[in-house]
Amino acid sequence: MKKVFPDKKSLIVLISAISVLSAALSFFFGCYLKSYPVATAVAIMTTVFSFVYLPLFFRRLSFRFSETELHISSGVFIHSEVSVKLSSVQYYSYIRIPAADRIGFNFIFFYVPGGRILLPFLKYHDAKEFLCSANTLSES
Amino acid sequence: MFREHPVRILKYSYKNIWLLIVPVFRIIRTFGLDTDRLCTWLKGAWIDIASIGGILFFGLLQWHFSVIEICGKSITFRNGLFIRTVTSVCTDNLCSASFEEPFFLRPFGTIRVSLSTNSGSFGKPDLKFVVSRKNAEIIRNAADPRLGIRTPHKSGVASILMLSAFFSSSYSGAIFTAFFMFKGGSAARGIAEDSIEKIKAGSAELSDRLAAGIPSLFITVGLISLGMWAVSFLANLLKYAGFSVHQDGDFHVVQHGLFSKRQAVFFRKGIYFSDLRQSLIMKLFGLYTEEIGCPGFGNSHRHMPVAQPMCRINPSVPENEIIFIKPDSRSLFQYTWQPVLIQLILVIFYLAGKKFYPNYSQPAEMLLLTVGIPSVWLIICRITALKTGFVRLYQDKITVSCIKGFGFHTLTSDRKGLVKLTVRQNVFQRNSGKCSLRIHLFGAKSAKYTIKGLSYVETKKIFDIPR
Repeated sequence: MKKVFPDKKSLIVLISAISVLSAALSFFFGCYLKSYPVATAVAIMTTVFSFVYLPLFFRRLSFRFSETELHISSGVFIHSEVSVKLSSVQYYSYIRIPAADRIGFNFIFFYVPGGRILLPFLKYHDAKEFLCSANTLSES
Repeated sequence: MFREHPVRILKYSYKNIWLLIVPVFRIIRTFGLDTDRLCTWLKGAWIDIASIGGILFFGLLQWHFSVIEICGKSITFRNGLFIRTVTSVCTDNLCSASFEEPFFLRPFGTIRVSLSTNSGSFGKPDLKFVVSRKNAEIIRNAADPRLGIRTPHKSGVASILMLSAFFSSSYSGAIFTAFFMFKGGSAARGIAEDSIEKIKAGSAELSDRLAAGIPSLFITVGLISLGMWAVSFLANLLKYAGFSVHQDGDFHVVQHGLFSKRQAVFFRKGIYFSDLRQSLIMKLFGLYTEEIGCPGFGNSHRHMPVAQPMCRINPSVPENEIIFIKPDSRSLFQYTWQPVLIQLILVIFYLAGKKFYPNYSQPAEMLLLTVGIPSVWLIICRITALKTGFVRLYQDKITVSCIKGFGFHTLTSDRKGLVKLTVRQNVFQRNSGKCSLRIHLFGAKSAKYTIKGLSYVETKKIFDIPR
């Protein structure tokens, strides 16, 4: 079984984007609205989210797949394991943003009987590999 | 590879465009065709016009980047401007497909295509797009090449009339009328108010002429209910006119509709269960309407998942029957206590009202009739369900005949289509050795049916049979 991890570049992009947004919000609340407690709260929450939660999330997220099965392991506070047979995938949606092949913002939704399964922050070639396996199995 | 029909540009734009188009038309109406005033207006309103143009252009771009590809056994839909989404469905996984021509899109030659698989997204189709007739034919061939070759069996006019009559209700007619009033604006509300005044005047005159002591309020409510029912009947008639069915080994094709034509295809492999529905009157004449539980078929609340509108099925001798259980006739109280209690409460309130509050005797009488008559009807239906209900278990499937609301259902499902079986026993049932069996079937709507008054010992045997 092959083990795959999410793309670390997407973590860096996310942390950078959240930091810029947090700085802008804190500046707005602090300098324009003069609401320093709110600015401080925004800064602390975004710092904890960016530098504690997100890295933990990425570290604990992993995908193991073979020709017939897919296992997803995730969760920061509550660990969860999802296992699904690739032959039960009814259809999929592949979502990506511009430059996703470089920064890893590739998301796949697998729709199976009973719900859907999300594979987030995949590397481009890993996403293609997943889709290839799903296509081959559903057509066979 | 092809794109959706250009009429879809409006769909991609319409959410934003209506914010601006109303004040623009209001200003055009104010200034009329005076050139000088129009120029003055243009100088001030160019930003609004530019915004509408921008929204339309954005909608055009979204339409341009929405592409449908058919490659081998898969149908792929790519859309999105900045966030690109690729959705791919394998045609072997399709459970149903529908091709709809709403009356307002028919002049443009467009068809709304919806495709559904056995995935978890119930309630809405998995893929939905608006395409031209030629492209809809390509999609139909991709789903199954045999779909284009069919000799439909058309249902008779009598079947459609009966289907529309039995499944119309004043409630759904009221919904239609409320929708018409809401969408039609003040003009529609004016028409409705005038009609109600005329009905009131007419019923007052009728009440005087009849001289049977029937208050005009009763006649007004009765006429309005009848009118609502007629609206629902007409809507169902237009919806199911021209009903035709083609059955092949692997799929069914159902076609109906007068102004808005609809063709629904469902594949046998996707069928969870079949449901033979009857009302009490249909039961007296041995008539059924067959409905199918299949993903995507009957998702919309506007369409019943009808596979056969009206048919008469001869009861056949079951083969490979393992278990057959009928409710005990002594379970009459279990079946009828709720409507009997409602009836008793209504009668007590009516008598108390008549004695102690004479001013409220007419509304109390009104309440007794409007709620009491359906309660009595429900008692009769429940007694019939007690006499005709059963559970049959075969080697590979289960059949249950029960009542839900005012309708009778005979459900047949494969054993694998059963999600859950629950046996319930309250204190009284425990003493008498009876139970209620609730079955949950796999399907889009909450397919949950209960049959009461069964023998507990016999019902437990169902769980001992290996699945």
